[in-house]
Amino acid sequence: MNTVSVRIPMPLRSYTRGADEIMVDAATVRQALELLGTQHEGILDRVLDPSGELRQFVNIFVGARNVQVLDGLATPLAKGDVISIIPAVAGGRHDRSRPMAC
Amino acid sequence: MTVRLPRNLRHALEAWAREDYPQEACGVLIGRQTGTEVAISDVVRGRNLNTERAPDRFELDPQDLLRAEERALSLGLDVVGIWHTHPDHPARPSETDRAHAWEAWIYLIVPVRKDEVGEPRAWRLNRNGFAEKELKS
Amino acid sequence: MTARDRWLAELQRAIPEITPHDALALQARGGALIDVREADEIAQGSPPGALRLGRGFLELRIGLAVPQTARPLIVFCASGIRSLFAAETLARLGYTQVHSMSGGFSRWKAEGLPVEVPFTLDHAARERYSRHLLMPEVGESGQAKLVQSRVLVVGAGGLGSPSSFYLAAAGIGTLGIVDHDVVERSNLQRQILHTEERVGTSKVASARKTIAALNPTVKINGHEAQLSSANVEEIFGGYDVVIDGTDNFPTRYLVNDACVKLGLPNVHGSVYRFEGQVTVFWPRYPKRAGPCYRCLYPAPPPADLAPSCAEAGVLGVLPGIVGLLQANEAIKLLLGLGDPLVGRLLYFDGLRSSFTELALDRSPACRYCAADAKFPGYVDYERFCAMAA
Repeated sequence: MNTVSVRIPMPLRSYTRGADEIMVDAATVRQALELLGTQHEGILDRVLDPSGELRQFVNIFVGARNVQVLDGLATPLAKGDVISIIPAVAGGRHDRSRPMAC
Repeated sequence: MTVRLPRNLRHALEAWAREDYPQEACGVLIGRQTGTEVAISDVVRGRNLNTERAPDRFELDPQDLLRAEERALSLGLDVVGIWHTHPDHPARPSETDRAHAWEAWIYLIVPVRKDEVGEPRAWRLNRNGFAEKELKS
Repeated sequence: MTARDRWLAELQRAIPEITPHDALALQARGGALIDVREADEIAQGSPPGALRLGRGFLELRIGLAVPQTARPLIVFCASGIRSLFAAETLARLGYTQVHSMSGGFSRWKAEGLPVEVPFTLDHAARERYSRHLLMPEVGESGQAKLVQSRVLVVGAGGLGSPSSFYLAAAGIGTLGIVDHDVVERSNLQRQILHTEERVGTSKVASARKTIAALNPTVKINGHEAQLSSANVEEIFGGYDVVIDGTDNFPTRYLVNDACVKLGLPNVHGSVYRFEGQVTVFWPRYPKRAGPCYRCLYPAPPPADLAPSCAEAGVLGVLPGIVGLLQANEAIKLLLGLGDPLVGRLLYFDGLRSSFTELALDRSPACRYCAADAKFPGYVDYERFCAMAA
């Protein structure tokens, strides 16, 4: 078990009573997220889907590296690692319900 | 709630909007949020990963957002929102924007046409959809 | 005594007979009056609310008309003889409270009880609409509804051509067509009501010719006028459904405002290049109040951000697809069938050949259709749209 910090982005801080960083003792990314979820109800649903996989709209970084290029949720953690929850940001003017003249 | 965007930062956004036209440009807003105000103190330009549909879609490189988070942290600030452009389109959130938006963040939309950049508008998602927030310099 | 008389006497013992007055009272308490006369007899008059099933297909039709076998039935014919035979059959089918009306419709009428002359389809109409009549969801009563319906199509262009053409084919009794333009050759790539030889002539007159050739029984009201705040209510009044097939924002807002004020369903269609949209704006839809055009677009887009087809182009078949979806919605609304696109926008991407459905919400702040809104009046629509930025 290693003490690591999980950085919480502003859109998810309503689950952590405003805290931007949560410390947990965990050996893997999955374990860290699950501990976060037990401490702060509701937040895990925003990060993992019902089958326990990472949601499409969320990225997890350990340090500067996306867990996608590491071992995914099984990525092992070392003491002092920083896990960042990075919301996927997308959008654009494309609008199927925009007004059309004719 | 008011959103403060200093004039120099607005000029930076306008320049990027013009440069990337007719593609959508996007990036991150760094600043501080208090009860009644979001004060933007830095803007970051990100990469639009959606190259296939860049004229009407954007997808911010998550690496850029991570870097912006780290930069904000080092300044004692926060990532308070996202900016993006709407080429040839009003500065209102689209259905695509709504579908991908996160609560609590400010979404700043910069309308841009071939030869001019329009007034940016600030929006924030709540339970009923996007609500416009007053934008001041 | 003949065999027939013996059988009749037996039926009279087995089937309870009631007077027309008692039949009327039983109908008021939930009983079903079943008219088993021939179509030409029914055409002369029948009690209001009677189920006119006839004798020939009675056994096949009763199940759909009266699913509950415990519901009291009062069967009647012209004089009270044929109804006895019919009543016996119904009792055999399991109906537990079957009566025959003594004296039949002649006595009903002689006693001054209420009579209505039901709408019936003539032989030619029966043949023309036979594929509709085969479907129980439409059937004779549904087709009669269509024949007595009035639909207004605003714009005899890309959307109005297919929608009015098919609505006429379907037997909509009265079709109103609003257009003030003349046919141009560039219309013919998609506006299938018009023809090469009618270039330069009135679109309404051209539409009338094409539709009359397909179905001369449809009454066409041509409104050869530019729709305006001054004439919109006079033109819209009396129609059941409005189809918006216009090509510009000022008219779309005007159509919306008039439909909201008059409580009419506004079947909206619009196209752009390879894309199309269909929805029904109808805040007063009884089953669920839907949004109006202004809930979705409180302000028009700046002109250069939403170019017209004349500027941006459109694939010719796109308005065909969208216009027919509008016609489908109109028929569903008229017949009360299925689920209309109220509060739902159907988006068609012609390049991907995909449909997407988007939920549309009412705007509680809508100045035109909010529950407590008082109609704010018509505006200068050209100016309203020119100011958009």
